[in-house]
Amino acid sequence: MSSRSNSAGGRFSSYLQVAPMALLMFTLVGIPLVIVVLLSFWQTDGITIYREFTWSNYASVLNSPVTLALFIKTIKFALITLIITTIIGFTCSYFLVFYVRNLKLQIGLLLVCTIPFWTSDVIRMVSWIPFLGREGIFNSILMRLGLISHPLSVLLYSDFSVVLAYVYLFTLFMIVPIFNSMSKINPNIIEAARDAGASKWMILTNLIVPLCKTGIALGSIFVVTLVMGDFFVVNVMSGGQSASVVSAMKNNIDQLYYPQAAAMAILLVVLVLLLVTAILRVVDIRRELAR
Amino acid sequence: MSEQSRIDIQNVTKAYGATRAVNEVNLRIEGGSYCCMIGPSGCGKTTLLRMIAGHEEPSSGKILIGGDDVTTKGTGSRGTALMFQNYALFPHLSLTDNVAFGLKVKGVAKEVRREKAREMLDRVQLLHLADRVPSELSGGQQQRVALARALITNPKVLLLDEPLSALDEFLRLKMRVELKRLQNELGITFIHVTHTQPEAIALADQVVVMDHGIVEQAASPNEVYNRPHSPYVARFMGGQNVLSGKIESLSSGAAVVMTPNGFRHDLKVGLGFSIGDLVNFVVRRDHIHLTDVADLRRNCATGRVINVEYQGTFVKLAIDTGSREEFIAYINDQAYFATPKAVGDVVNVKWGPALNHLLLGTNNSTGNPSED
Repeated sequence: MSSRSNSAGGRFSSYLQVAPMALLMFTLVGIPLVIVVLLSFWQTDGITIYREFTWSNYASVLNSPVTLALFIKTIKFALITLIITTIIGFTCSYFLVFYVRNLKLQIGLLLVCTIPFWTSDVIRMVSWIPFLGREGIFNSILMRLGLISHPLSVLLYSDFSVVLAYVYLFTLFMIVPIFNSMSKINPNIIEAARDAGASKWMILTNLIVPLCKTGIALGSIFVVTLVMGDFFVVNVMSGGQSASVVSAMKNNIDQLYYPQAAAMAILLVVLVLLLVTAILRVVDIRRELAR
Repeated sequence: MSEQSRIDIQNVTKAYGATRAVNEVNLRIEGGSYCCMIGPSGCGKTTLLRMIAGHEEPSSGKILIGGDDVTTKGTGSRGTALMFQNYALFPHLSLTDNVAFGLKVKGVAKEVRREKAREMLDRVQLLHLADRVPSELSGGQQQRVALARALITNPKVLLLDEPLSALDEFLRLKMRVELKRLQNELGITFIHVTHTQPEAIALADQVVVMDHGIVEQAASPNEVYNRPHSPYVARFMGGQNVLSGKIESLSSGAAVVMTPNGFRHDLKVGLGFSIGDLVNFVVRRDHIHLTDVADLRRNCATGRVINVEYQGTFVKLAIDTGSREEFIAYINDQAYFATPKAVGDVVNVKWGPALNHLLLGTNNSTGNPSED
């Protein structure tokens, strides 16, 4: 930092520089959030909304075992997806950084990871169905190989297929940040560790994992927020048998119970904030990035 | 100590495809000595160092440390420690844990290794910063941490890859003294790769000059500086003018050599030469005097001054004598300022016949020490 940025003029120009983004965030995030918060404390009879304060929206959400089960299920999906994507993301990045080494090939392979994103969510989801269904390709292969006698029904329209779809959709959001922090590791420090006699495992646990913490944390935030905010994937891949918090919200909105939906939304926001805070507790991203 | 830390490099070659980074090198580095490997970028000095450290395996040949064949032994078990050019400190660990890393690998208990690390940090005068992380340190401090980390496992041989090149001039001179002092205290073998000639001369007991994967000369700094083996070594180490000419007359090993620009020089050549042979020889730049025309018979040159540089204790005159290379004379400043010269003046220089030294080696590459 130059000494200029400490002067009053410098401070003014700094504010000016953040102003456009601040304005954008205020109008597109701040104002809607305030409206949702207000809405969650207002009353409704299913037809009209009354601007009168009440706790009843929150009470009905928190007292409903169905809704609480939905929250727990959504958290479960998020955590399972988080663990699997972290393992896959770390492994892929490790391969790209420490085995491929050639920068052009690395970037090329990373772009290959994005191929599924060239088409829409709907098509990507639907294309799993003929693969995993009872009469699907995977079951036929297993039967033809004689590994099973009856088709497996757990493959599709189950929690398994939901998690599979999440992993398929969101692994890239884990690969990219981990790859980014891993590729910044100076190869010399790995040699230095080897020079001290460290085994591959020691290098992994003592150097590579700690130095990828920032990437893992950023990727975790992406994955957790994406899973917590989903209702489409869970709906398609569970065949309507599972639901998420957002699905319940959508039902409320369809029935014009906006304040209840708003209360759920606020609870979800709080929950996601808690999870993100927990992640940031483990990894001080600001300090890590400053280093 | 000295027997255990002696290094023998026997017929070592390292090939990358068709190119040989290190080509059939034979070298003995005495235990407890300070050895400097010097040469331009890509001469193979770093590859050789990395093979001694165990980070590369030779394509053929053997490396012995203290008489044990360690050619294929892993790093960490051969008694060497390598200090990296950019220090390669672990950015997420405190100085204590950086230094203690080598002990952690060996399974030393946490409290014991931390205590030892703190002792080592004290030794390099950084104990007060023991809880900082490397990015909070200056370049010189980082280097001392790297040194402490390398020494914590009591290696027999410390390998230093251009340890001073990232430091500024003042710090470099200071660290140079510290390295030498440390080597004296520890009594272990230091192998120090560098591309700066004054560093090698100042530190080393043995200087190894390399070019294109081959050891051109391995000898004491005095020997390498005063009696270079080839024109390449002479040019690379500096301080010498390289001349060449044909033997005009010869009697019992004393020859008279005629250079293409028409000057005669006395040169001791020994046996095995005959009249008409082309020979290379050197004359030290700092033993040359300005003189009058009347004096010109042998061991002299005439030319036009093309550059004058005042260096404090002497004046560096570059003279165009009609040969391809400039002739450089370091003239005592008092003698020079008695009769100052200007660029373009014609001057005569002479020197004693005993100063001419025959070059036996044939490597005639320009070998400019990299200026970076």
